[in-house]
Amino acid sequence: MARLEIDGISKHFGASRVLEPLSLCVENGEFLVILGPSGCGKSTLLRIVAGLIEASSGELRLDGQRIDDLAPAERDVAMVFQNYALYPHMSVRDNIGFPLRVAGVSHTETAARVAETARTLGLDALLERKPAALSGGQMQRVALGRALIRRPRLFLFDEPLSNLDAKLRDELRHEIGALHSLTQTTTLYVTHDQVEAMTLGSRIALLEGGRLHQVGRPLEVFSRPATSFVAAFLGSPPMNLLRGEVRSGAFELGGSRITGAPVESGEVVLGLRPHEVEFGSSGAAARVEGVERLGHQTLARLSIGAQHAVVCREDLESLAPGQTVHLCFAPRAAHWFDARDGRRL
Amino acid sequence: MSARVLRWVALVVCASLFALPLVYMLSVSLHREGTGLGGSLADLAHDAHPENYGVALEKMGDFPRLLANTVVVTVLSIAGQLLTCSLAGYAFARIEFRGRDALFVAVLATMMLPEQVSAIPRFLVFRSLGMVDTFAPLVLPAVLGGAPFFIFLFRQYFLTLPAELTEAARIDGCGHLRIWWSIALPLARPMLVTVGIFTFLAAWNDFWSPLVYLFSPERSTLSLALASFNRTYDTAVEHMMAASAVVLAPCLIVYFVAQKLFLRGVQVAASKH
Repeated sequence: MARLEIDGISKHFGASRVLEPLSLCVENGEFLVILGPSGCGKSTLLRIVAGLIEASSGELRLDGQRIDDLAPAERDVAMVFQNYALYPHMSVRDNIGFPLRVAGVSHTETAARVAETARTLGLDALLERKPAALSGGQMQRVALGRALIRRPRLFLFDEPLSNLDAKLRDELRHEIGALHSLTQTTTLYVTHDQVEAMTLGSRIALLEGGRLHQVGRPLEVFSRPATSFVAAFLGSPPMNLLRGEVRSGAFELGGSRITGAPVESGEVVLGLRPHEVEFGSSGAAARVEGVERLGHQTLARLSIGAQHAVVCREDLESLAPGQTVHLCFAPRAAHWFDARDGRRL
Repeated sequence: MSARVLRWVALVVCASLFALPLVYMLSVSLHREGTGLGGSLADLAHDAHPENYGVALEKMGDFPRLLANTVVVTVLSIAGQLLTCSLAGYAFARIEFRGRDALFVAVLATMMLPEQVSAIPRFLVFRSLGMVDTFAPLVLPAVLGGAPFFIFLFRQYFLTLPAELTEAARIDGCGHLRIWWSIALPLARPMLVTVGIFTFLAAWNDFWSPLVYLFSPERSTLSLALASFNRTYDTAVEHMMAASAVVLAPCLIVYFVAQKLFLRGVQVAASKH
């Protein structure tokens, strides 16, 4: 276990800035998920921590000790890759035991630790197989085993479940969570999947365009997004973001004046979660453009003037396209953001 | 006629064209001494002379020693070539250093230099090192990575390996030398076989270097001994062809044994980057 401090780390490739100076701390035994869309710099950050690429500026400390000038092998970290990165010419046994062999651990101890790791991951029966003879889930388990066997101070995961189908993804996600509970090793986990972030992370760090938007516990980030990007990125369907003008403290939307805006005037963005909006007899008028019945719930796609919104409810059986509905919501369901920079108001 | 039949006909014609010189060589080698190059295959049915092979080996001199010398030179050349060319290829593919690409272009540019151009300076160097009439001038160029084409082949092959493999190995504690040995080389088997076969053929059939550097009969190689059959007035073509067939046999055996891996190596080299 260890405490990782990322202090002002940035990265640029020539003129292209991939990571803005970023500071973050992963506490002892914590499972921190870095969440963001493709190209946001999350894998770059992970690779900097692993030592695979060099940061343009900033410092990395593990338990207070500078590690940014150490080679990857000297940082005492283990990494699980999206594409498994198993050595194709080695058996499962050799793949798992490889880091110990390189470290010069004795054959007897290596064999014992491989057996123990394989047992933990349910790989006992596959030890003599080559990676080509394994399924995607099995390959990722072997990759996990190769990381686990080293008993590192820090685990790094680079979108480890992205190449798996939905069922396997759920299964392995649960296993990774269980393994973390078992080992309590400090973990930095990169993903673009909000379900993985919400279910696995002790905390989530949201990254976009190389910029850190928010760090917090999953429910805290979900219920109080710091920016409109975070609001739109977390949740399925995503939060509705409706741009409009506040005049004399009231937000004008669909012919209705909504009070509760935290500013007196100016352009703002109103954020509403699809499941927190109801239809009533008064409120902002919207036209139903489409209805998608998913069985346990129904999605109504609405247009409010030139803007679009989605409402998600269980009680919309009678709704049909072309109808006009009125939106109402509790004041605490409204999230207000600055229209210029997206920050929460 | 279906496309499949046409393909077969084309293959048989091509195979026949390539096999013809071999068949001709074997045919001449079995004819009665003095028949020359004009004998027909039909004559062999009632007048074949396999004893030509025994006579040819006798004429070559100390055949076991010639064979041993050639094997030593070939094996050392293959080992040296595989070792240094794969190392250089790995460095050009996987290690980032200043001037890497320019250096690679410079290495490739040396391919344009015919061997004969550097023959005299090279001879002078080896003579000053006291290595003339030893196997060193035949083997050292291979050991020192003197084959830019093979470096190029290895580099192309290593470029096809996923970067995650080397990254995973780095995190697992490997330096570049260990990655090259434990990860890259075992995965480059087709390329090792391809370069191995090319080097084998070049070293086994090399006539130029042994002719320039080897003077003592006890250091002679098979190719030099083969050349000694060619005389102005008394060339026994049948014996020369029999000796040629014996010298050629290992080349054919090596190719057929390693054929599959060789083709895979050539395909990769031809298709990537």
